[in-house]
Amino acid sequence: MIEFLDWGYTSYCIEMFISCLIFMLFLEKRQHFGGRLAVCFSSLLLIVVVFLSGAHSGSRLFQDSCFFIIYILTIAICYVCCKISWPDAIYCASCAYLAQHIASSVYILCVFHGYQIPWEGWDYYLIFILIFLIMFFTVARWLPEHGKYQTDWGVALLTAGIVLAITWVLSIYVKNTIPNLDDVHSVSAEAIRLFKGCQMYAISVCIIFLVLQVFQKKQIRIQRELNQREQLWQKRQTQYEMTKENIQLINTKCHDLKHQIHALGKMDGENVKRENFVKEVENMIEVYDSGSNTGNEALDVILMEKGLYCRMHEIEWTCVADGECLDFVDVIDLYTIMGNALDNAIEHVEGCGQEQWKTIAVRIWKKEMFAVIQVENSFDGTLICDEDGMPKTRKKDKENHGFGVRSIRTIAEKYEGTISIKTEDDKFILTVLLPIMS
Amino acid sequence: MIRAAIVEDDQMYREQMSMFLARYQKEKDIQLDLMMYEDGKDIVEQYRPDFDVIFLDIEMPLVNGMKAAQKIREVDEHVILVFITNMAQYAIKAYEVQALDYIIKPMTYASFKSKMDRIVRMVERRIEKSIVLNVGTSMIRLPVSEIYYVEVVSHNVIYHTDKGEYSLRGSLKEVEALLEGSGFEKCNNCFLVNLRHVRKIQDGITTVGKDQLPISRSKKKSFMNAVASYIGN
Repeated sequence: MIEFLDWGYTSYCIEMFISCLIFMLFLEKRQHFGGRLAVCFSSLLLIVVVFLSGAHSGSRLFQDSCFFIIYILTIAICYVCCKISWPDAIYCASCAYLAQHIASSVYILCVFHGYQIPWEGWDYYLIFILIFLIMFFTVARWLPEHGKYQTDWGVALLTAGIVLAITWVLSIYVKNTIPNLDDVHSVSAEAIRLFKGCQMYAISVCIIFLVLQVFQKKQIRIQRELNQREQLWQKRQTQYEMTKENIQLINTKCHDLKHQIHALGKMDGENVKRENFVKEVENMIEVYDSGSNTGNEALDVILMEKGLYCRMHEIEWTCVADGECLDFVDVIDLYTIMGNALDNAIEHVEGCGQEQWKTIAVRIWKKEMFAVIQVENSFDGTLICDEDGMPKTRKKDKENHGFGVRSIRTIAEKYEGTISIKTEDDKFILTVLLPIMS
Repeated sequence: MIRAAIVEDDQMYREQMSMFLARYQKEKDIQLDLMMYEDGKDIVEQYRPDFDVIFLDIEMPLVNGMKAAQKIREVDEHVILVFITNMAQYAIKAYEVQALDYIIKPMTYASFKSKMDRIVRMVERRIEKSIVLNVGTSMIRLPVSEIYYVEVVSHNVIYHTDKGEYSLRGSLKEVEALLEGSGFEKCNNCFLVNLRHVRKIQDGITTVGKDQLPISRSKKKSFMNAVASYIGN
């Protein structure tokens, strides 16, 4: 059986497959992942055995194209086993190829003494396992985001091109130009040195490329976050302007309405029923007429907006706020802090069941040279925090959430302040501490 | 034990509140001493700072809650004030008399209980704790609230207080253990700060009492968190 299988290609096949697997483990998998893996692996081996086993007797070009064919097959395997796009599959297979190439080059470096390379033995397994493990814990782990690479055709083809350039051109070309490498007996020491030198170049290029990929991904991620923050900021600003207008409108209308109703009530004083009705309506309007008056316009707007929302959704709302102590805070920053804090509180509270008692309390006061903002809401679950002390979002859309609290922290730190999050009894308390700038 | 007063002109609400307080007392096993008043005027006349917490209705015929609160604050800056109101707009101004909170009528027990928890916590915090120091040949009893910060210099610790400095042999670690749970936090490796006396933080320097202490980079995060936690309560 062993003579029948061309071990060179078969071992290469297995190495590529395992390398791909390492990268695939961190990607979003399709259903029946295990099953698909098994099918792919067996098909791959079958193709290699059936179609490529005769390659050893074929032309040089045909032998080299076998590697290329196997590479294409692994791209297909990635696509079949993982829920990713074709560019991502190409990217995955390319990175896997690079990883495999590093491992095999290291092995060749250690083992090549002018004889045929055995591709087995304890040093073979050791080197491959070691390199693959390193890849697993570093590059494979750090590249994807939420199980995808999110590459486009351009990047994928470029990566494939570079990979092919390194592996095909460098390695296969090198093997062809340094004479007699496959011939067991007559290999000069110089040829060996040259060959090993080329391997070292290959390893370096592969490593550099993979490292660059990881860094680039990180950069892209950070840039995207920044863009999102900026968008949110813009949204808040527009929201603020709109709400301000709305509230001014409501206030004016209610004020007029109150007077009109009062006048109506005074008209036909005998009717007790009508008087009671009028009083009831006056009370209802009272809520809307009570424009917040904390001494800070931005605060007034946001408190009025959220306070109205809460009252309309049966969330108990209390607010004791000294707005003047926040005069040094930029209007939109303040609106963002309060907006995010209150949106979070409302979200927490609305996540509770119907029977649960819902309450939100806002306190803003000055202590020594600090302005303190505290938003407290009733809470019915346990809080799970990530390494930053940020509450892990319960929502599925992880990208856009947890953002709120992170935003608040960024703004607080901009003013040299800090935030603190606590759960107590059945309450969730967010405190923002800002040193007052004179 | 908590000494409370209720100032409310409506009898029904007075009864409801005292029922709530009785229920709270039983549930939490806390001693409560209660006085009732029908109008702001009654409590302001001959007011003595004997109370831990006063519940004030805002709308009362003779002297309303706000005015009563202002008068009380003139002579008592420590008592906790809680307003009872059916109109939210007045409540926002509650900070002017440093009121802790307000309750909106109609009241539910759940809402009341939540506010009482906070009040009880604040009152309990006020209970003075002191430590005893062996300075030279004498023993000194030092109320913890008078300590601004503790400094360590070679093998000595120096307590910086309102009334002066006390130096004795010891390590900061021992002092930390001694003052645990009393609201002290290190701002860097040499200074243990009483959070109560943190006046200002600017450019990495905190003003504690009258002195300015540097905040080290490694302790910055934990120190800021502690300050926020402390003040937030």
